[in-house]
Amino acid sequence: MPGPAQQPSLTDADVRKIAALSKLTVDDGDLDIERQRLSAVLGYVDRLRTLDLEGVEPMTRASDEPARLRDDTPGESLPSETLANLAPDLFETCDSEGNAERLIRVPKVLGEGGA
Amino acid sequence: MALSPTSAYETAAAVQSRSASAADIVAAALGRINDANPRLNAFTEIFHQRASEQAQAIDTRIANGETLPLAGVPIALKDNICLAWGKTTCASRMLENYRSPFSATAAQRLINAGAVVVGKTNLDEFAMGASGEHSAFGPAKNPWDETRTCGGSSSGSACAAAAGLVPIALGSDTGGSVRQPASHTGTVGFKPTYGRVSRWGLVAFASGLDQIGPITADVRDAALCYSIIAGTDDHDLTSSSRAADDPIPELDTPLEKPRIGVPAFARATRNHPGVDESLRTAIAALRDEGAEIVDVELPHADHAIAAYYIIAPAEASSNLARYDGVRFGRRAQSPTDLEDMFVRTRTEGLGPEVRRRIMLGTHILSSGYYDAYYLTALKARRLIADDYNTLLEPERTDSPLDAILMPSTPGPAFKLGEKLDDPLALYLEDLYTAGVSLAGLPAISVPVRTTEADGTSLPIGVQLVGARWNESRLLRLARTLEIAVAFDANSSN
Repeated sequence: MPGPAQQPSLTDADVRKIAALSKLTVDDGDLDIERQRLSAVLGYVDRLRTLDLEGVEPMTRASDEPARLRDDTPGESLPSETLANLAPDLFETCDSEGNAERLIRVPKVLGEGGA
Repeated sequence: MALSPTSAYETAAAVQSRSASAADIVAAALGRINDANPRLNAFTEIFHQRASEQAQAIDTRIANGETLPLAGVPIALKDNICLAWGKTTCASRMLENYRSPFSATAAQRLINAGAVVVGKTNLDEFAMGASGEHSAFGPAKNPWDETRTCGGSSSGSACAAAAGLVPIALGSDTGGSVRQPASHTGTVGFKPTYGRVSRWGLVAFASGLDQIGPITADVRDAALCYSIIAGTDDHDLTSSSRAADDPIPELDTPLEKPRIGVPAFARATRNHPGVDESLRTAIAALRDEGAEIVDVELPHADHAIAAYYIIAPAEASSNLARYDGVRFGRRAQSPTDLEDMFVRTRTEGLGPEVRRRIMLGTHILSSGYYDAYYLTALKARRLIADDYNTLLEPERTDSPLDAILMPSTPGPAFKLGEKLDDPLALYLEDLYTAGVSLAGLPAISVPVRTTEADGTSLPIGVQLVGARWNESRLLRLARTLEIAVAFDANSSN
């Protein structure tokens, strides 16, 4: 296996970076144990390096069947009201024609500050 | 220990002939669950009223002359299988109040066939685990020894079937999550070929590996359940368009002189002695039934866990990106900004093992590591799958095997807490199951005998692996083995 995987042992900084990429945090108190556990798994999977994989076609799907594609035509779907009701934070407003509608509230996306 | 369950097969026949009522059958099942669940923690939710109402509706339909293959059969669903009522929690704080607006295809097909869903079962959070201990609601306990795990991740479904609470419990198997807990609880666990059963409504863990399958007390009920849930579904374009043949008519007709391969790596592995005994028992029983047992090689089998623990976390990290606190599930309180909402929602809502696998997958797929890990694992997957298919597929060999026989697990059910602090030790539970999942093959764990561990009698199963799309022959062979070994589910009494 070429490249960075030859050094599977992670540093604390690596773990913080991976957590950030995952949109997660690791508490300071858990950092050492998580680093050890992730490193142990990466160390274990490193055994794949011993295989001769020259010319082997990657197997991306379990099935031997060609992928089926749906016709590009509209079908039945769940009502948007049903789906909106699943959201953890909703508010009511009116659309441009004055009809009531429910929207999902999120923190401010542009600029600084929260919801 | 377990009550002897009344089988689904017998229950449906009795309700259909009106010698028993679905209402009484379901009431009895709910009574058993109410008694046992406080000890076993098999269920995350029990549908007392709805199940009773549905049972009465089944009785009315039967009285009106309908024929239903699962008339009045109480069933349970692993709580990562969506149902249009109750909650679908995936045993996660992230989804502890989530209510699915639709039912999974597999669940709906069973309901259409007359089954009554009495509850949802416990699991490792998002099906990631091999002990049931990674549930936000605590582990299910093994009915054979309540100080032990049921295995996982379909821990509650295995528990419910083993304790005789329901004759059929659906599980999901990504790297062994139906077969391993079945082996640990003395039940039958069947994973069909990848693509044979629709995944529509199964909450995604690793979409390229996930497959729904039944956990039952015997092979006949597994075949009956399979015959109803198998088949194409336009909601899931990875479901196969091949017609699924019905395994029931020929189930009790043994295959003529089946050829069964036993891989050398299974014999060479340092298994628990009871596992080796079970393998020998199964070999002897199948030989007595006329099988030819041959030694075979799976040269790459001992790389399966390494490939699996790259591919599955990679897919999981992508699938679980949807839990961001926006559209459904949990959201962190008073976020300061969008990033804070994402990070706190996910860190608070997901348990430690799920977070670990997301981090593993994120690392594996990140810039500079993709080829080294993910691409390498996909190539290894090809070699692992080729090993199996070369032995099993008539297109690849002049003398195809009818099945490969090997242990389901390296040992019997382990103690609660025994492997909790060592994720890698828990991953090694998948030694015999992960490679089969990577190849997408059908496989079934059948209980064979018990073994003694710390003065307790514990069940051990063996696994039969068949060629793709060849479930009917595999089930016939499993049925032959089941009858030949005559496993006694009550032998610990």
